[in-house]
Amino acid sequence: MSEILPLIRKEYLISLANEGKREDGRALDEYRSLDIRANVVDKAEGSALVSLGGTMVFAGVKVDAGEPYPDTPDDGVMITGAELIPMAAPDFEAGPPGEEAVEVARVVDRGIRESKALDTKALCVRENELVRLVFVDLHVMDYDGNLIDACGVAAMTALATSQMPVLDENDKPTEEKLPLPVRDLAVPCTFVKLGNSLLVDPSLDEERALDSRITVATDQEHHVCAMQKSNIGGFSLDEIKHAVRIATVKGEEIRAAIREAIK
Amino acid sequence: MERVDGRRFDELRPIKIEAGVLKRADGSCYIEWGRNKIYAAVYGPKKVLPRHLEKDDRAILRCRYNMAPFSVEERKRPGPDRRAVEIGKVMQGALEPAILVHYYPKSMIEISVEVVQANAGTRCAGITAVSVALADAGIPMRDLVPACAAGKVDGQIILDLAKEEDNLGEADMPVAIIPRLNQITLLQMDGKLAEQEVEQAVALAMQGCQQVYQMQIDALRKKYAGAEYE
Amino acid sequence: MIYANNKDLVVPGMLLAEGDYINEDGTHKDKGQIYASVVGICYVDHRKIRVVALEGKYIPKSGDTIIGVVTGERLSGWTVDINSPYFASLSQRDIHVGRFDTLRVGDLVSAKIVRVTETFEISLYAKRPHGRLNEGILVEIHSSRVPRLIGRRGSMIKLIKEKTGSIISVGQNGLVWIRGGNEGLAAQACQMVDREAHIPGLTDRVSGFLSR
Repeated sequence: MSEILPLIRKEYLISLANEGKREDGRALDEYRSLDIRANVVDKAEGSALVSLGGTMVFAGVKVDAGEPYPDTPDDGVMITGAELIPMAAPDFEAGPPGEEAVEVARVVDRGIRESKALDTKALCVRENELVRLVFVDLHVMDYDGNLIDACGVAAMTALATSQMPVLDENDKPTEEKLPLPVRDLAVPCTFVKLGNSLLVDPSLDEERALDSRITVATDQEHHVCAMQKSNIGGFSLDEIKHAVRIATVKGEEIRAAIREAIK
Repeated sequence: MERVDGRRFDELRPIKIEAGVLKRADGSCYIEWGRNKIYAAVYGPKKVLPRHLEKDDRAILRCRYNMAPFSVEERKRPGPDRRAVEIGKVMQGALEPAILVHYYPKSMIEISVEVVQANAGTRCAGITAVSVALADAGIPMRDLVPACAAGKVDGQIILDLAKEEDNLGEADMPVAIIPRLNQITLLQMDGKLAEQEVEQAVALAMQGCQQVYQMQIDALRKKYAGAEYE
Repeated sequence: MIYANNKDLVVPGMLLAEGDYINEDGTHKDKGQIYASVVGICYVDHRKIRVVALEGKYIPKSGDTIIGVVTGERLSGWTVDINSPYFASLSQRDIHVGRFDTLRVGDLVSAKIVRVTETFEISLYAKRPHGRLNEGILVEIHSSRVPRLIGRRGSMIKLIKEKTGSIISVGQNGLVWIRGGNEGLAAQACQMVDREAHIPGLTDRVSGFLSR
């Protein structure tokens, strides 16, 4: 459709939301169909292809070795990047990652990092000298709303299936492989506020009509491990409480789907 | 001669082509060619941005070739390198002669190829996929454009080099054609070939293209099997 | 010599006929031979050959009724996105809005295309029965499937209107505006036509769906 969301469409989506309904017939707290396929790219140490409704994302993990950051001398390093390539949407431009891509990558990264899903201590080879570097690259092929959740699931699945090459005494990679030390499955859960309702897993047009958005990432202990409020507009305390409660429930469903995919 | 994967000298790797795999793009295609995994997307014809690129008498084509960071052995840094820019340019040269660009003056057709797994021959697989994606987008064309490489390994001219063959081979020559015009619209070569071998390699690559052409047609027919109208 | 059969599924580059044939939409002629230019269904009518495209962007034609989205204000009118590769312009003279009212960016208008120049400068006319579309819902379908949604002599759209009690306005550019009656059901029926346009037995399926 046009680059501008027609006003009557925005009004329609809001009036539906106010009645607790959505255009595609979903409940407010219902995800679109989620399809997770693990190990789809054999050049990567771990990979996943995730489809969430019409949104499609590849995640690929590559493991290298290098110096640790000076302030965390015995921690491995995880670097998460996202590319919103022109293939994925008519208005995505080629070039270095923009604000949107950077935000997606950082929110996904934060959930995984803060939940300690990836045990970075176990990625230390020699303190102060050599640690493993884990690159998580998110490649968005098709953008149909809710990139953060699709990317978060893809990243977590790719990490959980990664096999990194063991280093020999000269720090060179060998043929021998070991799974990455993944201890938890952190997943983000994103809502938009339309009218006076919170809608989980926004579709493209729900996202285009939104006032504001909030992401809540949870771990398997049901702790909240990252949050991000985005766009203009605000939330009440009750709305935040509601989002956190739903995110915990949905997080468990998504974790079950990931476990099934990596079995 | 025995090839690494047991193929005959004039045999293609297994190829799977699927049209219409992406939701947002106006046309799309997924191709698996040996161990290559590649997506192609087409947007347009659409408004030209930036506007000064507009042509009054035809649509302009923009081609982008990109590799995902995890698509190759050594992680590739995101963003286009010189190789990707060059491939984008020769892809445009391969495809544009087949497109009826004068139907849509002052518009733009945006083409992108994303390699998610690379294993020798990505540009040929990419061009093949783009051509199917263009048809899937409903863009009027003189013909489809199939592509395929030939090369020289162990002194033999062979079709469609696998990764191992490409690494050890003496020459590689990607070719794309417009079958019904009998025109070669992509031709690159690196390595060393005698004059007679060039002739042999081009002819062999063109034969390969004809086989790929049939697979492109089949992929489009498959998507619309049983279609009727009115 | 004719090579294609009536109602064949064809792809670009396919030879359809040569010699004394007239090529129409979806085909091109080269050295006396007629080829398909697009993926579509080939129709042979005596000596005339055309291919009805199954995909493709809306290309504006003079006389078409379209639905567009106002995307910008200009000196004495508006720029309208008509879901095609080209913007259209609408002059203040050519639309009625109330005395104290104006069009806003994001408003939807129904309009007739009155002029398309060789370089695709497009002018719209939106006085009655056209004009701004208030309330209601908007659905987008492939413009190549609009003839399917309208149906033979308007049969399909009439069916949907009758069963849902909605007012439906179909733009040739694939935008469909629905107001009143069972809007949601009407929208779903339009989307069904879009999705299944090329699968035989469409009318029966839509009728069945609406009767449920």
